[in-house]
Amino acid sequence: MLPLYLLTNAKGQHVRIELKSGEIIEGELTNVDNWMNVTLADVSEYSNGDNSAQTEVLKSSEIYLKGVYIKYIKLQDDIISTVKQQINNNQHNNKGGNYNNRKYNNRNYNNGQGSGGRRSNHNNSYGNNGNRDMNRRHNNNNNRRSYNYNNEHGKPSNDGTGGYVQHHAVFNNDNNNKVEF
Amino acid sequence: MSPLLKEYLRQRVVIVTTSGECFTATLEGFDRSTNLVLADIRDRFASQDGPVLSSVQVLRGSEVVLVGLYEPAEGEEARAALLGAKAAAIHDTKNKVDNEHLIWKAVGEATRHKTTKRRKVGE
Repeated sequence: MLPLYLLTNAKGQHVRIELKSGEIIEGELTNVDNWMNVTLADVSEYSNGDNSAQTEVLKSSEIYLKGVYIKYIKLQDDIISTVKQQINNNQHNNKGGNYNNRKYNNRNYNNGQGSGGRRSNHNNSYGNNGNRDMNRRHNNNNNRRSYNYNNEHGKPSNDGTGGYVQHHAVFNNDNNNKVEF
Repeated sequence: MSPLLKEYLRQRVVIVTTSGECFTATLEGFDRSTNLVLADIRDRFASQDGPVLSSVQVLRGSEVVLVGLYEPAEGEEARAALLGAKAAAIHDTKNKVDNEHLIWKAVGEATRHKTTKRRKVGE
């Protein structure tokens, strides 16, 4: 599960962020962006010297925090199961049409055939069973943009894996609604 | 073959951070900047049922030094050896030298002294 995906789904939850300077910020997460810049509401800021020396320095209604300055973000305990449930519900609803899971179909980084496998070109084939090897591309024009723009953009991936994890095409969701990562 | 952390997903890993902290966690997710989603974080050198430092957190990629698979010590003696071991604390990555400015001052004086000497010899 992508970190940014998890954070985007954690909006509205109470989080605890440690900064590079060691300060702790606690608040309700209102927004996240691609660089992990966050906005928090109802914020308390603590200067940290182990838990005993914590003194509340500042309280504000809203704060914007740059992502580069974050050390870590502590989230609620149940967040992962909550988010996975959401994914499962979404997949269940999109049962018919979500086989083209790759969002970034047409980005080519000029890397050649065997590159990392992060982004792979998928033709409009609805059963991707054959493509177990992440590095294989169906397209023969490897480093050229594919012009089948309309066809290849299925629904963007909803499950936060960002294309790293190969999905086995699950045709029947009746056995278990569990997401197969 | 690019070294993706995909191999370690959903497994117990050991993380070392730039501040010299070392702990184990379950790797739930990652991205290209090595931002990590971790669950069930515990101190590396505590026993397996050690206290949980954090339940779920996102660790920023810039903080990560290394991520490795965690292999619990097998057998009584190995475990005892691990717990009893007095390993030197891991330093942070900052390479800070105390009173570095004094060192450089001394270096400056030494080199200055050298040049004046040379000039005298040349004349």
